[in-house]
Amino acid sequence: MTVIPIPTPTLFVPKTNMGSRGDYLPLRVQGGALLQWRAFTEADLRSKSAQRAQIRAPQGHSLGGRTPDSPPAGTGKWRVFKNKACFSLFLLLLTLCVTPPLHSSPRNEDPSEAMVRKIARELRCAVCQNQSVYESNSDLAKDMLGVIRDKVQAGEAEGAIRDYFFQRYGDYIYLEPTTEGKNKILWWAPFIALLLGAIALWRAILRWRKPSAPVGDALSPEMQRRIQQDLDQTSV
Amino acid sequence: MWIELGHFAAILAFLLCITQSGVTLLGIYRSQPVWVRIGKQASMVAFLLLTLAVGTVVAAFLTHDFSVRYVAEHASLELPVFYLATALWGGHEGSLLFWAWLLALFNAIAIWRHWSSHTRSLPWILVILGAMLAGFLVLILFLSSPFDRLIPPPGNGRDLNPMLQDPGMVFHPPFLYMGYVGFAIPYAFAMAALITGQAGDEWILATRRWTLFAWVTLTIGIVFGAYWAYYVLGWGGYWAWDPVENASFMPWLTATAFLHSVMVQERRGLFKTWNLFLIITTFALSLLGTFLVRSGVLSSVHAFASDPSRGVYILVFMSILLLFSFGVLVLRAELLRNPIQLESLLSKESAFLFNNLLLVTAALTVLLGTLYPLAVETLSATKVSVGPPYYNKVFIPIMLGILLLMGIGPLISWRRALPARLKRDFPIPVGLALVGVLLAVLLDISHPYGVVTVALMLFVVGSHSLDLWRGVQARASMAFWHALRALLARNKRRYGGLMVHLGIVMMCGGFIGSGLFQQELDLTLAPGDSVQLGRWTVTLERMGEAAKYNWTAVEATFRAQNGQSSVIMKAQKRNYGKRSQPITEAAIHTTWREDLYIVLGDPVKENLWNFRIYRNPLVAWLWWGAAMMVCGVIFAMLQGRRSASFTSSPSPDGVQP
Amino acid sequence: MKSIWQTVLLLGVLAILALFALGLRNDPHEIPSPLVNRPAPDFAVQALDGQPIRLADQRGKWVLVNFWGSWCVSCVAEHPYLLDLARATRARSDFVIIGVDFKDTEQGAAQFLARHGNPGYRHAFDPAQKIAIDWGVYGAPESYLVDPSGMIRVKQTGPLYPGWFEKVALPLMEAKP
Repeated sequence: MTVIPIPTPTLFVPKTNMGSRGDYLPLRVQGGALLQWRAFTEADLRSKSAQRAQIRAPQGHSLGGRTPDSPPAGTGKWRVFKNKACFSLFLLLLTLCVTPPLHSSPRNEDPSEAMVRKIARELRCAVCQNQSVYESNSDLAKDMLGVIRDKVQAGEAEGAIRDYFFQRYGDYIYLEPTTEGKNKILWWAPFIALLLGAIALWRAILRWRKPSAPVGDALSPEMQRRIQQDLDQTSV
Repeated sequence: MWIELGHFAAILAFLLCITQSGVTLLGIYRSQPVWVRIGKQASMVAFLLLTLAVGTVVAAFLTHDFSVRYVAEHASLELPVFYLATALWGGHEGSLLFWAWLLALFNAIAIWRHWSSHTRSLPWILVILGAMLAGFLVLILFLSSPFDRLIPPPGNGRDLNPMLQDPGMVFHPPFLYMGYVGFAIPYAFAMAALITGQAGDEWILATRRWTLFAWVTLTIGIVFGAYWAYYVLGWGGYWAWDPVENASFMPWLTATAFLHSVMVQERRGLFKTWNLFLIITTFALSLLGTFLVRSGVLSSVHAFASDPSRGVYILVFMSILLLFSFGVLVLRAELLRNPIQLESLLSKESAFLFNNLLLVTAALTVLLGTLYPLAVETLSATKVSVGPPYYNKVFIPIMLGILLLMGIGPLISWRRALPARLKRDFPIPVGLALVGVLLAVLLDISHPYGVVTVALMLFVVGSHSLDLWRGVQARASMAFWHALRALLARNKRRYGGLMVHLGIVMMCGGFIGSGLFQQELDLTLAPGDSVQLGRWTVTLERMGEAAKYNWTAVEATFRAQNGQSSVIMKAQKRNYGKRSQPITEAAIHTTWREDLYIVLGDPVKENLWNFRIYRNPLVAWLWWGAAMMVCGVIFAMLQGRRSASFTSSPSPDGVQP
Repeated sequence: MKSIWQTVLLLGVLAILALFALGLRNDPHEIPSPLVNRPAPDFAVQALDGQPIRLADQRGKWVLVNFWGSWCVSCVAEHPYLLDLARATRARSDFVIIGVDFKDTEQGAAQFLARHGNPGYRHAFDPAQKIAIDWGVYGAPESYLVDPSGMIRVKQTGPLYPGWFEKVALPLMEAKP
């Protein structure tokens, strides 16, 4: 097993089923142009030494094509084909494995950002009215976002940060109104309206419902008159 | 010179509108048909004159006539022709003129189409629309005139607000206004019906296409607004529950209620007063939307014009209109009293009633949320905000109820649902709904609303496909496709409506995807850096510059890779020079399952920039769902009046036509 | 039954209209400050003159904290009054003015003071508007009157106007023993 020292970042792809190729293949994972890899390894498939020579080749050296010292392909066509086929398969697998870190400097989001976002989404940008701190492009919103970020990174709790803004800007700053005091109207009125409406509607339908089997003309005129009267009082 | 001609034409149109209204009214009282005919001619000429007025303003834009104040404020030499022609509705004055022109246009079309068939109502329609148009023209001519000159003219204009220089903004206002104004015609018919006492079904038949047309244009307008917000405002969202968005949504909700309950009146002759109430409310809410935007009473990102005298005038105008409409409704509703008879609790009629209850409550909720801050501010010395979190908690459950009824609707028939059929039909959609719950769990949806929505989506799809399947089955003698075609052709309205429902289901998928599964990253990147988001690897390849038309931009070029495929995405921060605020132009890569959305932020230091990168799942479903809704309505509108008006008798196959 | 619905409908319409009529008179941009009658948040930063400045150092005096920026148009309108006020109150030992120049550059501030006159009091420099956010400021100019115990007593949103000191500040200052 040979492990060739190569500058970081490297990725070790586990041994693949490639016939004569038994080694772990160190892959430079940089700038990741796959075409280069194909050219490089195609030549490389012919001999182990050539492979090493290639991998050791300095960065500036063209990885493509045959190097002058690569031995001629003295093996049967079938072998070449098989190798090529295996290699294609290998490349496919490789692509799947290598795709994420193909690039030089993978970056991650600062872990505090999720909390910053959560808080900023629920605070209103004080000058742009109707946009949250997170969504707004205004200067104040950007600086408020900065303040939130500082506080989150300083380890303040979500509630404390929300409260900080509440202390300074009042109810206005919360995009979600509190459920206290008069705001109860806001929160409950739709459901109360729905409930009352449903009850009224239910009762009205029960009243409007007429016995279905015998159709209207089976009723006595008196009955019809009374129903009519009843309905007149209730129709909406 | 030309703009004065336009101004003069508008003044003449104003006088003609007063004539149209006044002379027709006199004609009605003195029983002089000739006078009514004068009103008709006046309305036609007023429309032509307003067309001329609009034409001169557009011409002033196209010729860069900066001596016209409105042009100088909303255009520049560098503005592309595309936006130049549409800058007409880029500002307050032009929007109002456009509104008035649309009203005149619809008025003329309505009178031309219905002149011979609705002789009783038409005089009143002339009176009402004439007065309304005159009211709007007062606002245009005296309080916000687009015809004013600016002497001496500036060398170049101040340019259109860069936010509005977006294709979404080209289409959003006209469709929205067409929707708003489109409801004026059914409204006028309804008022005429109330006044004449002929509040039977005539007005509903006459206005069926108008209401569908207004509803579909309003829908398109709202969706274009969402699309515009998504593309331009750059926060990865499309709907912010802004008061102005709400203002367009409220009439949509009541109009939707109307479209449903009107079917009950057409078929069963019930709920006449209720329908009148709904259409009047819809139009009143449309005007309220205009009022909210134009008066500056509620501040929001959209309210680009606010002027107290305008506000006072609009308030007076609104008061007259609202008190007149609802006053007439209350006073004349007696005439419409008709016995309501339902045969069963379990019938389409009662399902529609509950659908109406939910839709009207939804509209009331939006109204409450929109006006509550104003009420608190006016009545106490404090301020509150009512933002998206409120609507997400309160509005969504109501909408889920509507979704449930939407699924039940096709399963139950008019008059009374037959228990046997219910027993036969219900298990399939209910089973699908249970599959939906399972699916939601598998998809890792933890939010209860999300689970319910997925279940209901499948429920609706199940009941709708079942309905179609039963219809095809009933024509067992025919080949499947043949039967399907015959079925669809026979009742375009019904199947158009069902298609609209499926469009809504598709949009619900978009809401769930983008609402619950949005992923975002806030970070700083230098060229060469890459990040992983979902299945995408996004690499900042380079920072560069770009320029076109009237802007210059900083441009970030990204390569987004996903397995084998890779795309180049360009996020820009555009500077339009004359107005300093730079505009972000998000880079958006759309696939059917997600949008990759990149916003370029501010520079942190040399070669290091802030970025926001979003993965917005299923956003494309919103636009496709909306397109499906529009197709459904157009399909429904293809149906002629005759076949819509026949009264119901259960069709032989047991499936309601 | 029916008349109830009719009444509700008409009352609802009237209520909405009344709300709009009242609402037209409101300025939608004015947000009342909850900081009034609460301790003023302290700040200790660099002043425009390069020396450190701290609010708590003024404890025992009435402090007018004026938020401004060279980018702000109304501040220009307000400035003559601040010049007058600074001159008129220079002799008072119980009253100081502190400016807070926020979201600004030192250069911009210097230019502003050179062009419109330097009132002579010191200015805290707050380029990232940290102090401004700490004080619940959302625009400029805004002014706070802080009492000797460090409590905010009054907030003025928008420019101070001639006579403000006599009308608003003095009565408060004299009421305190």
